[in-house]
Amino acid sequence: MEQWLENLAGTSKRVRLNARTASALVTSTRCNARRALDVARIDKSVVAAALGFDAQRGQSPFALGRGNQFERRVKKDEYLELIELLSPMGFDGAVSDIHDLRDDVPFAPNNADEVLANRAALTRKAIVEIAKGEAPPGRLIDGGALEWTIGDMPVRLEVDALAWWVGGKLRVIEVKSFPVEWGQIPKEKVVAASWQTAVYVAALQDLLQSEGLDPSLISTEIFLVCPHNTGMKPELVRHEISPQLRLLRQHANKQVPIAEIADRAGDVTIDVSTVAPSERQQTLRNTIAKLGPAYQPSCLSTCELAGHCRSVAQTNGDPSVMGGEVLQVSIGISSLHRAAGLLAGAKATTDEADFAELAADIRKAEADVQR
Amino acid sequence: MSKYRAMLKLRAFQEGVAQPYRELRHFYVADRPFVLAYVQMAGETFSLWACLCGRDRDDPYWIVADDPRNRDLQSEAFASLAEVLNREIGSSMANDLEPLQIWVSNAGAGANLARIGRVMRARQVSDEVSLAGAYLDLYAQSMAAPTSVLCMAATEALGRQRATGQSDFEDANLASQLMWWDRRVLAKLFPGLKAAAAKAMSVFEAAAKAEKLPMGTLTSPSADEDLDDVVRQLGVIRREGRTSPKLTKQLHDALYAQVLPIWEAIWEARNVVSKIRESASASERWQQDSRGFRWQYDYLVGGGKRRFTDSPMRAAKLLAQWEAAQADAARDEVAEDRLALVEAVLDNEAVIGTVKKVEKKKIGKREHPFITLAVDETELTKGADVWWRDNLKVKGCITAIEPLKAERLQVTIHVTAGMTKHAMPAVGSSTAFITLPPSFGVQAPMPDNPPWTHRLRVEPVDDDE
Amino acid sequence: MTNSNGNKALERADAKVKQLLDRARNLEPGSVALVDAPAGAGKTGLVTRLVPRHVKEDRRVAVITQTNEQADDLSRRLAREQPKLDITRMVKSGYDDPGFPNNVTVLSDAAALGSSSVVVATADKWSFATAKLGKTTFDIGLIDEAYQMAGGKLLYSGHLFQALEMVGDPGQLSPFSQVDTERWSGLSVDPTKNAVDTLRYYMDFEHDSLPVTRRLPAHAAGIVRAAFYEDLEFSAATELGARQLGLVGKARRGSSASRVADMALKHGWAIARLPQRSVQRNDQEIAHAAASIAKDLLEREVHRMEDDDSRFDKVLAPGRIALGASHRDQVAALRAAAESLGIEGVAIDTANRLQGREFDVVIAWHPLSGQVEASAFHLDVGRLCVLATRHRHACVLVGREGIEDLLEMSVPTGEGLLGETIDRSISGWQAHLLLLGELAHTEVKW
Repeated sequence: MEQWLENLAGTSKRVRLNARTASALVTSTRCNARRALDVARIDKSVVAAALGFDAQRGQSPFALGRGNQFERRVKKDEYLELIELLSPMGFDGAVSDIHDLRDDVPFAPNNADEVLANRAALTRKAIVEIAKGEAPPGRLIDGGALEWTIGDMPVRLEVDALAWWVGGKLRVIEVKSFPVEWGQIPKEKVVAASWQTAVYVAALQDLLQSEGLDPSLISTEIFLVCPHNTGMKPELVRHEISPQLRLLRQHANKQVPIAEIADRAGDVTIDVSTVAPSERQQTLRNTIAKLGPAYQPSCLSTCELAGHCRSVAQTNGDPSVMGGEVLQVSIGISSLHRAAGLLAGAKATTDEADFAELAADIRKAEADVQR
Repeated sequence: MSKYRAMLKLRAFQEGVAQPYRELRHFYVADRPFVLAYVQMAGETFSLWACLCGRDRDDPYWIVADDPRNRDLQSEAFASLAEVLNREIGSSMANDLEPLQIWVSNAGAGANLARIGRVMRARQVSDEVSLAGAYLDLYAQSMAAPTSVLCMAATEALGRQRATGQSDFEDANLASQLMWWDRRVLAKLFPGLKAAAAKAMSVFEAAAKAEKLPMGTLTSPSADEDLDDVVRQLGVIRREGRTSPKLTKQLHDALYAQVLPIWEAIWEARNVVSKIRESASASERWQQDSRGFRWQYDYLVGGGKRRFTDSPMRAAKLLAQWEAAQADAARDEVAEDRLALVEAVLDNEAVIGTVKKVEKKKIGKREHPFITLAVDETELTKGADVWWRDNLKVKGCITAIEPLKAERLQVTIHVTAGMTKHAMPAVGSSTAFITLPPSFGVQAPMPDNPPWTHRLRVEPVDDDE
Repeated sequence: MTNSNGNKALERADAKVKQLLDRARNLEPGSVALVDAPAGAGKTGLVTRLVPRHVKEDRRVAVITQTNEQADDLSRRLAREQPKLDITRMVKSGYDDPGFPNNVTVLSDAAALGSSSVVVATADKWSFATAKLGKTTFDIGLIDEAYQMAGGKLLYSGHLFQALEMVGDPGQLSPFSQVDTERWSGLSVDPTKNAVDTLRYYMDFEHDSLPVTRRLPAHAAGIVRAAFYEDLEFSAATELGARQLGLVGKARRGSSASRVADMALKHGWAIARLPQRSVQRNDQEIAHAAASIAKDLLEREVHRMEDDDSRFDKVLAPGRIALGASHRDQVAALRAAAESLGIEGVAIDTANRLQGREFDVVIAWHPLSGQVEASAFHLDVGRLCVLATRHRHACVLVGREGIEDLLEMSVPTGEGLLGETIDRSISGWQAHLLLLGELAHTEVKW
């Protein structure tokens, strides 16, 4: 299987798994093509561009700027405001024991792997000390790195902050620059943050377990630090992520069913560097088709290849192109082109009988109301 | 989504054009709405970066905050918007005797007005800005109220009339949805593209091209790279106490290029739905909207303050009002619109049949009509309450469903209300009965204060920034 | 067959009720108490025993129910159990009096309540009554089915009750609205939040639970608990074998319905699996299969043995069988199938409407059968819980192949409600998987 995945990727650009992409492996299980590409850690935006679909992704520099600005504020003056937020819950800011790993092991563009490995080692040490009771309450780890695996794939995680001792437990803290608006955060943002922090909690639990220590030291209640209302003053929001954590545990251990996908696809690769330029797009299209895409409209907001898959779905008349309710109604129909015929009264096969009946009901009702 | 709408989408996909979902327009459309096309800076939830607004398509107001992160610049932009908005609202109340109807591009842009309304009040820039903020909050609330159209999202106006052959997600982009109505509109949104060329595209090509236009409240991520440079440079210049007309023009032109297509698209949408005939009850609902707004307007102009969040009582009251309004509007739609009736029949919320006889039977002191209806099929059951589509005040109960020859059914309806004041359906006529019940009508009176069960030890602060 | 463990369970149940009744001796104004009751644990029974207890302490008692049927049933039951107690059933004007024992007075004008010490009405009626009752208050408000009540309703009537005792089943369907309530999502003011969760935001309260389900049989209690009531401890009132259905008539050879019926009667559960097919929601074959299982049970003369009463002699009547589904068009299909098979008197309805009712055998249309997408509606944990907890003897799920695959493909991402410890969409998904997993050994291929 390793070999098949390596062949699939070839020399193309690879990406590292992070918290977001790791959790996507658990939740987006419908599309085999995406699954194969994600497990092979292929950069889908490059594939999309090669197919002629510019995904218009990437974060706006303004959003990035705000994120950095807010983080700086939270960490200013030895994490003053963060500690103020944690103190009411028992965090002892007076005995501060701050480990700023971003400072200790600064990033350099050409040795990113080494940097993260170093930070991971320091993080592990700092946490083990906590678990063994050798760390002072008031320990704050900034920029902790965790190494984790999902299925068999390594995931690189960078946690905004880890705080000990808060209510008897080690807390994951995630700093976000979107605001808490009069007590509310939009659902999608809460869901995304839930999965991200659930991955961190899982990784921390596994870390402790691997050292023979008690994983329940990590709290499943995480903290989000967000701007309060319209300003930039940090507010702390408590959120329970045990539902997502449980799902993650239940599914992370399931063998990612690549074998089936590989069997059906055969030997394919998305590396078209050796293919004649005029044939690259068609070759890629064939490869994606063999991997088994399953397009649905929500792909447009989550996957870089959505534009391509939508175009294929439209051409083929794939009933899922308009979403779940339309798909449900066209159950039994092989293509939308066929659906149109049945709507007009074409003879139906047994599978199509229910749809044809609904179509007949509609024609009748439309006729009835004209009278 | 009902089965009917799903099937219409299948038809639309095949024919490459949006299919009528309703014959009539069940919501009021103002002749001269106040269109608000605006963008925010990415990451700045409470910003107003640039907007085109006004009641005149050819002469909009153009308001820009060079850097919305700069409080002074942002407050100036808020002040400009407030001046325009307050004046236009005042003018429409005094001269048109009805509220302004605000049009935005999509539901997100409408809901977002609540955010702008909050920051305009929270920052306490001036009384005028705070008043405008309260108005915007009111309009944003209208988006959530099912039958209120003080604030209209263009995507929803279109969606209520016709079903496209693409997903709801794609429909949220106004330009993309417009392609299913008229591809030539693309030429108005892409300078340099000719109408004939747009028309020659397939609807899928046109929609894919149209959706590249940002139609929500964010500028496109690719544009942001360039905008970031200009904004930063202008920031440096500003801090040095200087100005740069050249860079300012560059920034404004770039923002204008982002906002103008939104402005044009909203007008196109409004124009196309205004041509559809309005239902009678739509006008009545607008009158209710009007009265409600008048009360709020008088209160705000008189110095009243609007809370930032709903109290528990307000929330409960709003929900009760909205549920009642939605139930009644749904019945009105089925009564007034033949396509709504088709949808109701398919959802088993209505039955169409031929009146075979109307007999009077004496029950107690009164004569009760019993209507016998011949129908082709129905899943309605004995005991179901039904109302006559032609006159919803006539209520009955299904007392029997028996087979008729030729696989038809005979439904007997015992009329229990409305028989003395209203005529019954004519024998031999084709008519319909619906099962959607009316709202309760009257709402329980809400006490002024919350009971002991809903009192917090410490009330949270409502109006802090 | 003795029911010794079952008897111990019943003793625990009685002890708990006694404890709750004793607690009623003292009542602090402004106090709120909650009693969680899993399906069939005797919720309504508790309420009918609490009422006279409070009356004995000279208190005015208001009983708040969610539907008129519940108010009628409760009034009747209370009236029968307490023939010396005067009960007032407060109804909406124009209500059809269904008939009550003599000690129940029916009236619609709240102003006419006078000094009635026990008044039973729906939450909505109490909302309207508040204005007419002026300064009148009741010493205690007993809320039945508190988890089905929208917390917002208490805003209207809360002033009437000096203290509250809530009894409810946390596993069942929550209040919901046809209107989009996104505006209040995650906030304490959300008017659709149930009464228990709403009040939890404002105050602390005493929390108890009933430890025994008298309805669910031994082979169901453990599975139901694991799927729907993780936080509650409870057991069945009967041991395995103490409650049985026995068949008198012979099985029809080669009949799928008979095989399913046999399985259900033996294990207390059965899953009838029809082959995978792409069909619309009102799947006629499923409807027909479900109805024919009911017909098989009726034709073969099933005799009930109840809890330690070792004779088989109570015949299973049609009214003790229910056919349940998620959608009204499925219910229509079930009714049509029942009619075509000539069976009458069987209860056929949606999960919403079956809530609160009890049967000997329930045949449930699996919510996910034939679905292409596991939507939030179909995954809703409450819907599945209602369908799986109505039965005293056996529950049959009827569905097509492919449900597990659908579940695997639709891992939910969550509801995104800040601060909630339970995510209903995720719990629902897990409950579905758990149920199918636990019942795999009772599968019968149709």
